[in-house]
Amino acid sequence: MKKTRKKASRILKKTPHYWLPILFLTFLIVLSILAPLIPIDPNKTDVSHLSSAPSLQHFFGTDEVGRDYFIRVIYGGRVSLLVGVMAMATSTIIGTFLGLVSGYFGGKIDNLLMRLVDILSSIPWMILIIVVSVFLKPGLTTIILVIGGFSWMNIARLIRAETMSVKERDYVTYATFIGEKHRKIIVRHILPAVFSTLIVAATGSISSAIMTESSLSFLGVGIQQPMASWGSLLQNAQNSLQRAPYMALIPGIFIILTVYSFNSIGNFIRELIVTEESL
Amino acid sequence: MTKQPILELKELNVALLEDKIQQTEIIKNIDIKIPKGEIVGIVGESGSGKSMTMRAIMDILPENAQRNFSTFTFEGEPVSFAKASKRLPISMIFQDPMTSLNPLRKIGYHLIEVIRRQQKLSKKAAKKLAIQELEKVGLTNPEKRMTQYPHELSGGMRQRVMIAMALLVKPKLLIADEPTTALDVTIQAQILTLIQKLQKEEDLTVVLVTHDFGIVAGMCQSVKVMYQGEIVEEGTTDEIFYQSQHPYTKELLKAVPTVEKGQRLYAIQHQLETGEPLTAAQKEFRQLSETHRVQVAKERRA
Amino acid sequence: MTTSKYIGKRILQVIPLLLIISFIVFFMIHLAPYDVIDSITTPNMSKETVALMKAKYGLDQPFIIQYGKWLLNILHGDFGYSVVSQHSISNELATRIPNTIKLILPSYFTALVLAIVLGLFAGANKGKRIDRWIDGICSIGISMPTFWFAMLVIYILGYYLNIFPIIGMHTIGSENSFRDFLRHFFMPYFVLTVAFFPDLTRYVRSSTLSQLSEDYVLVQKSFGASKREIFTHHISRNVLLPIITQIGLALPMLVTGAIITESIFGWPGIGPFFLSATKSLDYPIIMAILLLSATLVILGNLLSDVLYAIVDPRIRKEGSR
Ligand SMILES: Nc1ncnc2c1ncn2[C@@H]1O[C@H](COP(=O)(O)OP(=O)(O)OP(=O)(O)O)[C@@H](O)[C@H]1O
Ligand SMILES: [Mg+2]
Repeated sequence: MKKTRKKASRILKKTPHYWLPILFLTFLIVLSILAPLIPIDPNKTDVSHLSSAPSLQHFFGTDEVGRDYFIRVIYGGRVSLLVGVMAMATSTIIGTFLGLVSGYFGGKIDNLLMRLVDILSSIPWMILIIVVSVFLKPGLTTIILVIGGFSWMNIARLIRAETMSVKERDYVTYATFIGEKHRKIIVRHILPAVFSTLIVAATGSISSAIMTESSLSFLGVGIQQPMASWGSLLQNAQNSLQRAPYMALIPGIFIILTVYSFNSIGNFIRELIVTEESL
Repeated sequence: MTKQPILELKELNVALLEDKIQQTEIIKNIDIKIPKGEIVGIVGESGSGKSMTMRAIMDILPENAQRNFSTFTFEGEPVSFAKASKRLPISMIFQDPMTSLNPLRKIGYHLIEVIRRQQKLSKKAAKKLAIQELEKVGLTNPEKRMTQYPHELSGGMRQRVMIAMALLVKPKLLIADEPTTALDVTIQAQILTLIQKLQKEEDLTVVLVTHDFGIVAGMCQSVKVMYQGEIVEEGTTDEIFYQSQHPYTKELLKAVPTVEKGQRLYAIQHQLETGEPLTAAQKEFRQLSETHRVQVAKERRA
Repeated sequence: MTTSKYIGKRILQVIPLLLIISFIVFFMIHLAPYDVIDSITTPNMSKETVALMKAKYGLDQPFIIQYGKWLLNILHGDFGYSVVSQHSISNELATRIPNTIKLILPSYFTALVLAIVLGLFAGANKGKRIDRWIDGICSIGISMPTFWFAMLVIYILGYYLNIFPIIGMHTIGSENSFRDFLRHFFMPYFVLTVAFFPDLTRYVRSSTLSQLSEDYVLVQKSFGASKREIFTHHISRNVLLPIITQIGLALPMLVTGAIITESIFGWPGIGPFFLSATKSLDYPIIMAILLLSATLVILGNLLSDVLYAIVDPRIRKEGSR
């Protein structure tokens, strides 16, 4: 642990631009958590300011019914981040579980699961997710499950491959030889060995989940009113693009910064783990 | 023996920049003199800097490497590595013939490219020359080889192609960096015999990097022993084999009989670390004969 | 294994996958809460009339027979009818797919050329300022939602500068004017190009870097080849060959690559068709597009493998070894 921290600070010293995403995400997460403490009511309408441009009174301006856009973007961020993290958790759990099972047991189970992965990956994700989301009632839980439930295939492939190679290592063979239970072998020996792959894949999947969520919400099959995410704010902004371009500009910049930051942090973690292993 | 050296390099240093802050020295202040017309062996364990020294001579060090030297002469002429300066007539063949050729280019393409870079020849003439060269290095069916891709040839055949390529630039010095390590034992002997034969026919000087003292004994007139980025002992083959002075050389030689011919000397357990490593200032060379010298610790003067 | 044998084997692998997907799709249509009959019958029709209708559409037959007929129809290019408008889906697809292709093909091609140039250039200057810039632009491009960029472009070029029309493929009345088409074409084309190039550039850059670290590059250097020669004679070829596989993988994009962009710009392609079908729960259309895109993905993978086998001498000549 201490070694990791030392390595992290070495990488940060070498490539200081990693500070930017770290600081931005920290700031964003703190802001999201503390949002209810901000003394602005996200639903209060200010009829004297309809679609007014950013000013001192309203940082990011107001929307078409006079709600403060700053606080709406912050609340939108809460939803986007929540969906990103929860969908990541869902896909990581499914992907890890199926990947471990597939790689560890091999044979028929493996074959079956891998065909499932083939089938699911042969439908463009956009089509797949839109189709599934029309079958289900739209909403926060649905979108988390839909995104998480249909983006685990890559993680499963990675974990499977890793499991298959770890399985051949001596200590695993030994554990099998002395008759340890499969579940115990998987949890005790294999899971720790594939952990770093897992972390790297998981970080990357947060940003793609945020991206997917924003597309779906933009298309109107994601987050529904009165709840808002950055994507649905953008959907709304599309209608008043000519009058209030800042309503489109601001959430988009937040999406870019957030996705960029998660991607960078993914690289940072990969660097951390890779150099760790090679030493 | 007072031959004029074909190549002389003094105080060569190579360092690799790890990142902005750190750098590691991999070649430490070495002097190299290669006598004309000889086959010179360079031995030393893996990582001792043999390849890096050769790459420094060829000017093909990795991008993060820094090289400096005090003098570098080739056939008596000082050498500069400035951009516009003429290429030295040196060519190099590498350890792994499997990866030395571009897998997506035919053998003929490689050879013709090398020829046409040096001489203004028509494609046809260049092709003829290439086929002749392939014949010279003992490849059967050279016309067909020209149209084949590297993966269609065996390792030994590819190494012959590499040798042909190397000879096409009409070198005076040929550097062979472990040219047979990646090959089968029987093929190894063939390739080495070929190099020996060509050296005589073409009047070449050869630097042969190897792990194998058997090869050195069979082919080389003189030997340089490298250890941790330095040349710790050098001399004629006889001097090194029968009067070696440096503990590391002795250690290497001790390993020879027990090691099968062709096997690497990685496993050597040398007990050289007698306390703290010596700094450059604490070491000096002792000249044992005109050709034989060995690195020793400076005697402390009271 | 010779190339033709290899290709044959790959095709054989693809067929069952396609069958399974088509079966799943049909099963989903079957499960749908209402079908063609519900849409053309009214509650006051007699039971007999409904049964007659069912018989006419073959809906009284066992599931597996219905599937067989459906599959046969699809193989003949007949995807059935929309439950909302009763129009033939095949006809609709036949007019819309070319529109989508008109948009995607030029953008993908532009993005590819751009990516090759930038990727090779960045790879050749690894770690230098220009490389860092290209990489940075790609990182931002990858993080940027396409629809957001589309809105930005619409605002600047469409509203603010008022250079280009904002919606559609033609101005009504000038359907045959190519100039008019180009004016409508530019913005979505630009948006899609920007959407496609960052990933491709990264791909080209990283394969350039991996080629640069190959031994043969060192060998070429030792023979005095200049950096330029190494790039033009060796690396660019080795980098470009695998890109052919990327083209195969991009095949499904010809249909589904621009769903959001098309609907933002009101481009009469597959995108708006698909999205309006999802809004009105028009199952046959949704399923037709699902099946079509899945088929293209599978065929695209196949195409990419086959192209690779044809183009790469290491696989091509495998038989003669
Ligand atoms: N491309 C490279 N980048 C960074 N360091 C390198 C590189 N190649 C070699 N080194 C380092 O340089 C030192 C000298 O390596 P060199 O390849 O010259 O050894 P060698 O004597 O040729 O070994 P071998 O017998 O294995 O070929 C080693 O410590 C090695 O770790
Ligand atoms: Mg070496």
